[in-house]
Amino acid sequence: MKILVVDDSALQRKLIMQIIRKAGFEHEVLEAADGREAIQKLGVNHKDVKLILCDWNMPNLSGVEFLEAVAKVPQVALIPCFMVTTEGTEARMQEAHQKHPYLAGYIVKPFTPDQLREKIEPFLKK
Amino acid sequence: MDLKQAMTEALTDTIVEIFSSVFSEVPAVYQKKYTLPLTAEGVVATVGLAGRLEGALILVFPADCASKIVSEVFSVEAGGPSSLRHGEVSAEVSDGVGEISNIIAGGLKSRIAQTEGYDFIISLPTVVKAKGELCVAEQPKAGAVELCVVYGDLSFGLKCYYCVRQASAAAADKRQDQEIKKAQKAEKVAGVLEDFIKNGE
Repeated sequence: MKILVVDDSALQRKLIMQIIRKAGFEHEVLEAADGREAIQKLGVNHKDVKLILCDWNMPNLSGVEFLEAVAKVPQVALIPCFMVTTEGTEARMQEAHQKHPYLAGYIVKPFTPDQLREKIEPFLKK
Repeated sequence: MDLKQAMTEALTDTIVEIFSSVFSEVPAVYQKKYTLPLTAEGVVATVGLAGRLEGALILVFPADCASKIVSEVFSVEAGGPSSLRHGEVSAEVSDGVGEISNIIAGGLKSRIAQTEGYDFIISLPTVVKAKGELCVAEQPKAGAVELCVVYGDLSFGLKCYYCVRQASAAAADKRQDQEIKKAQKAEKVAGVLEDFIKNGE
């Protein structure tokens, strides 16, 4: 079972991985530094990916562009996805839900480890 | 409340929120110019603002402050393979400073959208290592907020330039064109994803 973490900051990806491990989840964590890399990793690993955590502002292909594409492909559209981003305005949240109608949730940076864990735990314990 | 006051409060509240959640005490934020003689290395991060508000957010950190703040914010464990050596501006420190400036810009954006109704987009951060005395050039036609943040013996500076752009019909048309192009791009990217899936099966 795998989790896909998409963020252009290597430190942010590392922090999220630490939180996942400290919460006791043993899922393999796939990393992508932008939406383009995430498309490739999701395409190759889609049968095993159980959760996607995705930043918004990234080079090459943004997080919302990545999620909009994911929502259009039936094989991956229902994989639980969370935006994990500094974009905390109401307008941006609405835009994210509009582009990905099955979006599982929205986490605004900065977040505490407990805040992230509480959001993703229900999807990883299934 | 005038815009400068709103920008000052938004930046101060964002910085206090970020650093209070990481450090046990609230940082002191002063409305004053931050001077950084920089006898050692430092890091400068810039985030562009575009839309109804245009400008730039510039953060200046001495190297030791940058590495300490990054190691605390991102819980980088001391002594491990990813430890940050004190005072060194490594690639990890640059990455962390970029992400912190992104978080501060995002907090500014959320608060200003809520209190003043101005929407704008923020650019990806640009991070530059520096050595020697730093001086951020004045922008006489723009509003400016200057803050100095102090936590214990650590301090860093922030300057935000901004000006308000009037909403226009041309801008609205441009946004509509951009939405059409985004929809076309999404179809194309979805096609690429489907190809990866098919090739893997």
